[in-house]
Parts: sequence; C-alpha cells; structure tokens
Amino acid sequence: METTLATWPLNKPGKIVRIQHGSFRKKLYELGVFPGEIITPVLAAPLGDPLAINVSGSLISLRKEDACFVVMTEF
Amino acid sequence: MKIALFGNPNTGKSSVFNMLTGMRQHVGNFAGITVEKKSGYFQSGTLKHEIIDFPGVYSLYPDTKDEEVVHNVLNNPSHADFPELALVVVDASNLERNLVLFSQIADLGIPCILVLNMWDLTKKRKISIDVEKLETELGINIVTTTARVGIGKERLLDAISKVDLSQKPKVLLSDFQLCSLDETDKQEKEILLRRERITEFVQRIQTIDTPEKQQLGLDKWLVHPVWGYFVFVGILAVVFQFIYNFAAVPMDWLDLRFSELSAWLQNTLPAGAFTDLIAEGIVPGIGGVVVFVPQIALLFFFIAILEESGYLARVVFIMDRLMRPFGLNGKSVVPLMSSVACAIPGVMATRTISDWKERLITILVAPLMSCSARIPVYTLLIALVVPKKMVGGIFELQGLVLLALYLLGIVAALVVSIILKQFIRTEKKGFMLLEMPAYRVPIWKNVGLMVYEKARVFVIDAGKIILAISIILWALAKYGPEESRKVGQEKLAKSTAFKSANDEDKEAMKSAVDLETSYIGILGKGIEPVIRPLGYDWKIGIALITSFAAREVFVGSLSTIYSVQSDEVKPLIKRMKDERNSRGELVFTTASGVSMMVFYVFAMQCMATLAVVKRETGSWKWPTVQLIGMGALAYFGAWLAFVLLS
Repeated sequence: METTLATWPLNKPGKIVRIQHGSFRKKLYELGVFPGEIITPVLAAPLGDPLAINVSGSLISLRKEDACFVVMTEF
Repeated sequence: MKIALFGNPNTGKSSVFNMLTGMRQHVGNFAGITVEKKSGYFQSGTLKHEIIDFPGVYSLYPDTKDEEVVHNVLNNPSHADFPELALVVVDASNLERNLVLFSQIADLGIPCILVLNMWDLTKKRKISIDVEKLETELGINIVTTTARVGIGKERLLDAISKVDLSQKPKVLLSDFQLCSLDETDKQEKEILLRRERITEFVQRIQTIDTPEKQQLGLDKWLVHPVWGYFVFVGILAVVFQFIYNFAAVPMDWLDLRFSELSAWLQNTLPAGAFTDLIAEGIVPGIGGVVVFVPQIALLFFFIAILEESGYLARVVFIMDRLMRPFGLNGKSVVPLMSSVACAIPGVMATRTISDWKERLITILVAPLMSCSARIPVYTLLIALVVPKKMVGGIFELQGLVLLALYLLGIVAALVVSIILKQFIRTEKKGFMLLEMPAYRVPIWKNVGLMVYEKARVFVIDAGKIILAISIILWALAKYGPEESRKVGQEKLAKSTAFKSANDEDKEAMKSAVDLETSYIGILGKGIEPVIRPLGYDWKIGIALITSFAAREVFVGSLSTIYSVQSDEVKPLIKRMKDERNSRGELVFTTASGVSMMVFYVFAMQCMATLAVVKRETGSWKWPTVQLIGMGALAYFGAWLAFVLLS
C-alpha cells in the first residue's frame, strides 16, 4: 500500500515509489532520496516535525510538509 | 597555479583548506556579490598556489545565492576565479552521493584531483575502496586524507606538484553542458542519470563488510522531545554565563587602556585641533570597537564548538517547528543567538537560510535582540532608577529588570516576525533540507580560525563605520557657532555657582557649556519638543543622538553633559539623580528611566548594522524599513512606559 513519508512509521524501512513535484525535488535527488531507494525515518522533532531519515548511512532532516511529497511503499 | 576546492557540505572541505593554507587565508567577497570567498595561499615544492574554497554544494545546480557562485564560475571559463585545477573533496564513506558533484566537474573537462577525505571513518565503517582501480577508472590522481587531524597533507601537496594539467579526467556523460538555472526538469534527470551510473560504478570498486547498523547514540538524548530542549537551554545558560562573567575582565581592561591612551596623547602631543581629533575622536572611536572583541570572540568560540561537533544541526532540527509560526526558520536560532553579542555577525550568519523570506525576517528582527553595546546603558539606567532590593527573598530586583529588558527584546523580535510574515510576499516557497552530520570532537585549529575570522570581520566591517560616525559626532560636539559659544561662556563666568566652584569643577562646567552650545547641543535642543512626551530633556536628546555611533556612547555623553570629570559611574549616577529640568522637576524618575530603557531595547541606533543589512539585502530599502520601524516601536514603547508609570 502506498502512503507518504509524512505518515510513515518511525524506524520502519520503506521504499520510495516517486516524489511528487516540488521545488526541492532536485535537492532530494542530490541527497540520495529518489525512487527505488530504501529509507528509514529515525527521528522526529517535538510535535513530529521535522523528520530525520536515514539515507544510506547519512541523516537527512526535512519538514513534514515536504515529506508529504515523498510517496513510499513497503518492500 | 589557481586551484579551487569543491565538495559537498560536511565532507571536511574546510579542514582540507585549513590544512593546506594554515593561517595564510583571507575572507572576502566574490566580485560584485555578497557571497563569502575564502581564499588562501600555500606552497608545494617551489611553486606558490592560490586556492579558493567554494561554498559546499551537492551538485552544480544551486538552491541558494551562495551556491550559485559555483555554477556561475564553472560555467564561464573566462571568469576571474575559474580554476586551473580542481580539488574535489569527498566523504569517502559516502561515495555514491559525493561523486555526483565530482562527475559534473570532471565532465566539464577541468583537471581534477579527487580527495578521499574522512578516510578514518571509512575504515571504521568497514568500507574498503580500491583506490588504484578508482584512479584508472576515473583517469585522475586520488589522495586519501583525514584532514581533521592533518593526515594526508604531504601526499596531497605531492599530488598537486606532480599534476599533469593536460590530462583530462574520463567523462561520465559525454558532451556535457550545464543546464541553465531554470531548467529544473533537465537538472533532475541529469542528477538521477549520474547517480544511477555512479552506483553501478561504485559497486565495482568498493566493498562493505557487514554494514553496521546505524546507531542513534547521542541523538536519543540531544533531540529528545523533552530532554533535547533541556540540553539546549542548559548549553545556552552556560554559554551566556561564560560570556558575561569572563568577557568583562578583558573588556574592562581594554576600556581602561584606551582611556589612558587618550589621556596620554592629550598630554603628550602639542595642543590643538589635530591632537583633539586623535585623542577625543579617533582613539575612543577605535576603543569603542575593540572593547567588544572579547565578548564576540568568546560567543563565536562556543558557536564554533557547537558547529564543529555537529550539534548545531540538531538545534536547527528541534527549533524549526517552533520558529516557523513566527515566519522564522530553525536556522534563525544561531543568527539570533549571535545578535545577543552583536547584530553584525548575527545578520551575516543568516546566509545559511535558503528561504529568502525567512532569511529577510531574521535579518530584520535580529537587532531587536539586546546586544552587548546596550549593557552599559542598561546598567547605568537600572542603577539610577531601580532600587536595590530583594524580591521574594531570592531575586534581586535590579537583576530581574535586566532580565526583563532582554526578554522584552526577544518577545518584540518574535511579535515583529509574525507581523512581517503577513506583509512580506515571495513567490518561491522555501524548504528546509538539511544533512545532520555525525558527531565529532571539535578540532581546535578550525575553531580558532573561525573565531579569528568573525572577530576580524566585526572589527573591520563595524569598525570603519563606528569610527567614521565617532569622528563626525566628535566634530559636531567640538564645534559650534562662535557667537553663541562666546555668549554661553560669558554667562557661565558671571554665574555665582561658577565663581564659588573649585578649579576642577570650573573646567567641567566650561566643557558642559561648550557641549550645550555646540552643533550637537543645538541638535539636542532641536529634538527636545519631540522627545519631551517620553520624559526626556535636551541633554538626554544629545545622548540619544550620539548613541548612533554606538549605543554605549550614551554613558560617556551624559558624563560630559553633566560635567562629571571622573570616569567612574558612581559620581555620574549621583549627579543624574539630582538633575532637575527647567520647571524644577527631577529629570530621572522611574517613569523616564524605564522609558529610556524601553527606548534602547527597541531603537535601531547602530549605523554599522544598517550598513551590513544594506549589504546583505542589496538595497537601502530594508535598512530604511528597519530604522523607521524600530524607531517608531521605540518611540511609542517609551511613550507608553512613561505615561503608564508617571
């Protein structure tokens, strides 16, 4: 089932299906967040926002409103 | 040779730069823009090289103004900063991501040396890279370093001296041309294509034994929903405790030395206008700048440690959600913190905020944070109108008032941010994507260089403006229309108070009349009708005007106006307490004192900050908004305080 990174449970690895258009999509690609990659949200700041995700060993933080654009699925 | 340093953020690029150049570095701006350009010199063999440390980027397609520089320089081979040789620094433990930038630079046909940095971490993560194979595959020289601790310097220097500039690296995408800045779709496609090929390629040269499971470690506590804030507030408390307790010693010392120097010059040099200019205008002007250096250096010492250790990225992370309702950004925290020492480095620290609107709001509200130049003013006024007594048995009232003034500044900054958020419109919506680096022990050399650099920028940027204004104000206070000066002195000579005074007091009374009849005295009297509703008279008016050089000048001006000879504050306070206006009422009451404190919390009385804001925002529009807006806030705030309390 597809859902977005914003609602993906913490510490559960998931596969990126696609990233909906946003001005930051290029930056996500550069940081290693692109379709096919396995990422794991590992930290949530207080109030659940922003999130920090583990992308092949590095920790990337992004706002929840931006995480809505990242469509995830189980693998 | 002209060398350029490129790399992703958090790859230790600055460490490589520091390792090569040591102290032989210089921070300026790229031609025509306000992007910081760090350059330096070093020698390999007998050759001297110039090296430029470009802003850290993930690719040649920028998201911020700073990052645009990299694109613009590399896209234009005739650019003055176009390199003959590129050193591309990569985090060897994260090759796949880091090689995207490298492949772009290589595809442009620029001779490259690849620096595999963080080699110690790579080994620790049990990642082995076949460097020789990588060299042949890429067709370039590769050097492995752990630049943080200076390992690999000799190898890197050796590689630079042996480099063959005619040898072009092998290309990943043939006939590569950079997309233009607005071709986002093409840029995205290119990044994905590069990444795909690089992943394939890296698999051939890299093996990872038992990939270690990512441990959260310290983050479990440092970004914890509750403990995270405790830790942050605790760190802030320690930092500010240090700044206020320990910086005072060197600051007082410097202050004293500059007064002594002034007095010495006055007595040694032949009397005349030129000596006065040096002893009363220039030396105190320079002193007024230098005296703040210990505090600014100490604050940046702590900020550098927090940044070097990787903690600052966590502060951004836990503060972002809290700052956003105000139109600010998690990254606004550091600039606002810096502004408590001085708004100038604070405003400059906003360059890391990629969202223009959030950056602008941070710049506009930063001067509302109470900076160190306000402390002498606060201290004087509190001693004057706030009684020394305990509240609730444990708190000292004077200390509480000082705390309240700081809080007033912070609250004002947040409220003004909310208002500005409604008015400032931008088309481009910002985002915040941030890499949180692994925790590391800070390297003292890097910390030292950052402190030195920030102090230098303060002394030069703020210094020249404060000095210029000091000299202008000195001249305005020194000279006045001859006729009225003569009349003033004659009147004084006839007065009974003057006749009965001793010689020292006579001198003081003469200087007071001189100031009253100077141009600045005339200005002070001119603005009296405007400031009377706030409870001030023309004498305070003079002090307010002189504060435009630097706020702390307020104290010195009052000393002169009230003809207090001593440098000590106590006689001044005694004198001010007795001061009565023309109607025989006390001038410094609780109402007028508090009104003045409020005025100093809000008013934009710093030309140096205005000049830096102009430079950072590119027009006089925003400094003007700041000057008028904060001025109005100060005026109405002070008026309200005066009316409520009297």
